[in-house]
Amino acid sequence: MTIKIRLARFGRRNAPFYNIVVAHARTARNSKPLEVIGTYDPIPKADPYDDSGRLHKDIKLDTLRAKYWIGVGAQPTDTMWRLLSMRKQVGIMEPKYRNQQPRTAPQLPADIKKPETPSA
Amino acid sequence: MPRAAQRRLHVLRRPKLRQSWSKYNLYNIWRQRDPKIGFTDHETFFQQKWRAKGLLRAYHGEHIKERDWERMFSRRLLSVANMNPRYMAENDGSEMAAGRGSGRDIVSKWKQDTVEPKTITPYMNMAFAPMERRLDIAIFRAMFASSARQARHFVVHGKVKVNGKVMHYPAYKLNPGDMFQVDPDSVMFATGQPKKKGGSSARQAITNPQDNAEAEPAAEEAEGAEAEAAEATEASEMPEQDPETTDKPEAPKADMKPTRQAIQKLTKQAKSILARDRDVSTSQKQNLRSFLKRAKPLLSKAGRSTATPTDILDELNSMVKELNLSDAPAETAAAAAAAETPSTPEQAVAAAARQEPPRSIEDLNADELKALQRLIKEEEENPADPTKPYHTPWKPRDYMSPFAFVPQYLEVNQNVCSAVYLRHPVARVGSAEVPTPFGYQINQLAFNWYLRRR
Amino acid sequence: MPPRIPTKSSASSASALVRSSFASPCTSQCLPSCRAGFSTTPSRERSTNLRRAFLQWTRTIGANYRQPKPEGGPNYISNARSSALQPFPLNAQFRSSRVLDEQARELIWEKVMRQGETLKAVSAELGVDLTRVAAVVRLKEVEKDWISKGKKLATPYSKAVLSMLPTKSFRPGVQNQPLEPINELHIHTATQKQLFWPTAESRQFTREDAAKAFHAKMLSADKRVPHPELIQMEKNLLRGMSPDDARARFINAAEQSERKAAEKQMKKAMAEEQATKKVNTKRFEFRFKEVDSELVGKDGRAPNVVGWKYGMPHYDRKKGLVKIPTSVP
Repeated sequence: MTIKIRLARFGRRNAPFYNIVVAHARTARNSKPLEVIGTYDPIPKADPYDDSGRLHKDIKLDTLRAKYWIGVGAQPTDTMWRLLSMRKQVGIMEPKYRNQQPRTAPQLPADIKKPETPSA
Repeated sequence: MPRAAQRRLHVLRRPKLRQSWSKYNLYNIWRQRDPKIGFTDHETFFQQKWRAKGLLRAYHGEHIKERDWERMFSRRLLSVANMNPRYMAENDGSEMAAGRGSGRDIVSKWKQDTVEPKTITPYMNMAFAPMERRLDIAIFRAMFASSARQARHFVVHGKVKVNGKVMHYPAYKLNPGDMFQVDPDSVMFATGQPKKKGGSSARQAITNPQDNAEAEPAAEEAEGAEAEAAEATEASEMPEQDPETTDKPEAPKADMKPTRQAIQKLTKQAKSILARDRDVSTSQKQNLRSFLKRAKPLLSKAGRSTATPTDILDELNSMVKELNLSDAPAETAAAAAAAETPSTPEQAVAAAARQEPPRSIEDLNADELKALQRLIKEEEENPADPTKPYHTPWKPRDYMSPFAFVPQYLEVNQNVCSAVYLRHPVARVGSAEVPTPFGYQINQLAFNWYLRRR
Repeated sequence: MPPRIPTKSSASSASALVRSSFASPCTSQCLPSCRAGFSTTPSRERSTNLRRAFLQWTRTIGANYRQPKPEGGPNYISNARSSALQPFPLNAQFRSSRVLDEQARELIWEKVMRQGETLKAVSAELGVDLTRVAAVVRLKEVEKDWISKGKKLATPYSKAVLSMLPTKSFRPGVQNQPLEPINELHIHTATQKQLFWPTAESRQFTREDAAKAFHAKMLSADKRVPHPELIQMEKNLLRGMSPDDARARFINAAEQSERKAAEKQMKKAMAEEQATKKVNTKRFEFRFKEVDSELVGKDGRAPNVVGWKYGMPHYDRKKGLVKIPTSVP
């Protein structure tokens, strides 16, 4: 059976809180997983004494275990993929979906000239 | 809690002492004699504890449910010992353990006639120390509210911040180092004199507390909301009202016009002086401006139905009196106004008496100038502002001074209506920091009451 | 249905009726208005002996307490045995303590913020508790902030309250009387029990040994007091060091201890910073904190296991548990 890295919802009504778990794909969401490797608090919070309005979300993660499970073929769900592929700092996975930024043409090496238009 | 609100807070018959600055409470504290619990043997120990606990619980957080207090109660009583650095440098502690074997001999005091009683550390007075951690009670202790219930009201209505964040739980237990701030307007409302009766219709509904013991405590809880209502009505009255449209046109209508005209004339005069004269000094200009500022609310007051011309004239006279140190034209104008407006003969005499030969700012000596500056500053700090829910200029409320103390575990800055909870209250030799109206024995019995099944 | 007992108001109106019938012949005229429960005429005040005594008190003794004393200072109710600084006549063990006045607060702020003196040095010099010095500076900063922002201070209130309280002021540059004892030792619970601890009479049983006797990890009183540097200074003085030298050393030690505390805090913050990786997105900052998921204890139920636990009830809504915030950072 496939092994997934996924979120298990805990917390209360209107106050979600997730465990990041490694579990068999077909088990129930909140059943006892193979392992809990972290938590994800999706409610944005502000720093104390910070009036800038900038909010943050807290994630606790055992990176070593996450890497191990991916190494043995565990499949992160889309949400977990997004978290695990966040930039270089976390960088356990390559981003699943492409960057939403508009695409630019790749730079050509210097020695290859552009094909000249037949002008002569 | 509807039931608790209905109960009277202050009564004269079988009184209970409360955390409140009410005059009834003051009277009750004043006439409270030592209850002498446990001095005779007609009460069982249980009865003694019961009575003592009743006496103290009426004071300490009577608005808190007994169950909640029982959970809050702690048998751990905090205390401190003063360690003299000099003594600690001289001795390493072995002197306390030294017995006769190490050469120390203590002379016995058996032959002395009297033995001085040892000063105790009143641990038992700390029975209600956990209560002092509550936010509402700390606000009352910092003198930001006139009763613990009013403090609670402020917290619930979002007037209080803890460490810069609005905290709307009155049961929040302060931690050492927490800073709490109360909205200064609320504080000044709570501790200031109430607005004069008849200022707004909401106020008129209450009967005079001087005559009615029962009305005041009942109204206490609702006072904040009421004040807001009063504020709203005041604000709506700010635009000048036509005397014709007010409810009671009979009495004031006839006399108000000349008064208003006089005020208007005065303000116009002052304005023209400000605009025209180049040689008027800065302080004089300031003075005039503050006069103009104050004349405005007076004018609107004159338009109100409840104002009497004598009141307004009095106020105007006092304003002009403050002005006349420096400003001759305004003074003469005021005198003229006083002469114009219909007033009692006494006032006319008073106005005439004030009419001195006009002086200019150069004639003032240093003391007078200083006095003038002080006056202006006071006026700036404490202006008459009819939009406020309290009597302006602000004055402390009656019977406030006997209740004025700040316990040592708080550091208060009255200017910003903020305080820091330094630490939990402690007992030390001879004194305990918990403000409690009864002595050691009563507190001890109450402590023992709460000690059971724990 | 409960028995109909005449209410207080109706009873009083009935008595008023009797009185009026005695007083005036026009009984028929007042009868309807008196009988009506919704009468608009205010009912007569009940005047009891207690009320009369109270009113009498407000006119005589109570009049002293109506306004604050014109000369300033405390105005507490007193009886024959109570002292001047005792707000409650029956509780001699609670006395109103002095508070720092405006000038003293300004002086403390000046010393700490302008002259850069350490909190400990200011505390020892003026005899003000260490935490109080810090609080005064903190509150004064708020005040200055308000002034700079043009927010109105509650000056009349402040003046009135300070005039009612016993206040303490300091003269700069002079030896001042202390406000309060500054070197107070918290009585630790472990030290409150009685011990039977046999030792040889010849042994020097110091405070250090006493602490060890109470608890293996307990520090001695010399280290737990707020001003251990002050004890060292006194020791230096006893050794014959000149007062100026001892003072300079004390200030140096105070600075060092404060720097040490600041460094400790910094280190903690740095460690925290290193353990978290911050990823900035357009809307939020994601903070990844590294944890060890394998620290689960023997039975997998250790109290600090990462994540919400399985197979264990949560008591967070249970009756009697604190649900309101316990601290504000």
